[in-house]
Amino acid sequence: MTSSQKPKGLKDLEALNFGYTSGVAFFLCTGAGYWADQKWGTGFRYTLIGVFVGIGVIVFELWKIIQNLNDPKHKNK
Amino acid sequence: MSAPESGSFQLSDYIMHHVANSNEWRLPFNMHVSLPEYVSLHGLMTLLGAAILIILFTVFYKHNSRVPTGLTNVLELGVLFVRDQIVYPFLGEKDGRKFLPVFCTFFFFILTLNIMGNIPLFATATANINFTAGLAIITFFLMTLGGLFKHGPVGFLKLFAPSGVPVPVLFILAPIEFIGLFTKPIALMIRLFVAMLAGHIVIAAFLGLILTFGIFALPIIILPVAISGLEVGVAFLQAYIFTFLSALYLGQILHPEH
Repeated sequence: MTSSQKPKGLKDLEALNFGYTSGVAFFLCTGAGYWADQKWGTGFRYTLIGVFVGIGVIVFELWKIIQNLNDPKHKNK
Repeated sequence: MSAPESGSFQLSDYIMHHVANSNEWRLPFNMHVSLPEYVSLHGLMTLLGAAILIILFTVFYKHNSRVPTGLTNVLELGVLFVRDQIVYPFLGEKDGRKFLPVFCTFFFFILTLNIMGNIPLFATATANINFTAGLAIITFFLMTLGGLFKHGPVGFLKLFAPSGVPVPVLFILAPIEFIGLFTKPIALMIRLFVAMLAGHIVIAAFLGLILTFGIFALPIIILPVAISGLEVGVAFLQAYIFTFLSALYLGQILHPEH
């Protein structure tokens, strides 16, 4: 199948998994921070870092999806 | 369907029995089959699903027929759908041809198990997180090993460094991209598990209302029937979404420029 035969709007479906991906990313990062705090007895320092990294991952994923959807090549498909 | 009239009846236990894994296969007319310890109900369903697929594609699929008819036609329709709508658009024809068997297996296997979950007598293996984790691990290894073979170790690591980004920003972006390698398969795992589990819990909860309130709640039977119809659609949709997203993630690794 050539690229001209690609089904229209297929790329839009990439946004489908954003909710799950962001939830998992936040949970993983925060969970890793919480685990580190429990292991080394450092209060909530690493949990807080994990929260910010998790938010960073979510924002980055969202930015990628928006960039992709606004891509002029994508719009012309 | 044990004794709702008994004093010890717990609605939550009744609901969870219909969705949780066990070593007991409940058949119609109150018959039970006790399974051996090494195979659970969902494990048995997985084996049954695999057996159904093997029989379908070996016995009923007519390889030599010039014009496909009957079941061969239906199976070919599914294979062509996976090939033309999912695999080739993301992986291209060259790579797509190599990976097509994996994605066809994903699609047909998940679809078979999802549909089996809607048939009385069977259970939903895809509502078991261990099963969906197994599928997600296959996707993870496809992504990592596929990327390593295609780009080599250095090229694979470069995938986590987006081009045109200043070096200081890379120190932030590269770990975030690397985390994405793990979050995507985990999200796939949770999506399939939750979608299949939730539908069954909703149906069982509505049926539980009838068990709790008796004849007065009988009109509510319309809702589980309607949701069961919806579940058939969900069975197809989730099989499509899992295969589609797996192909998308593999395509992002194999062809990052697109």
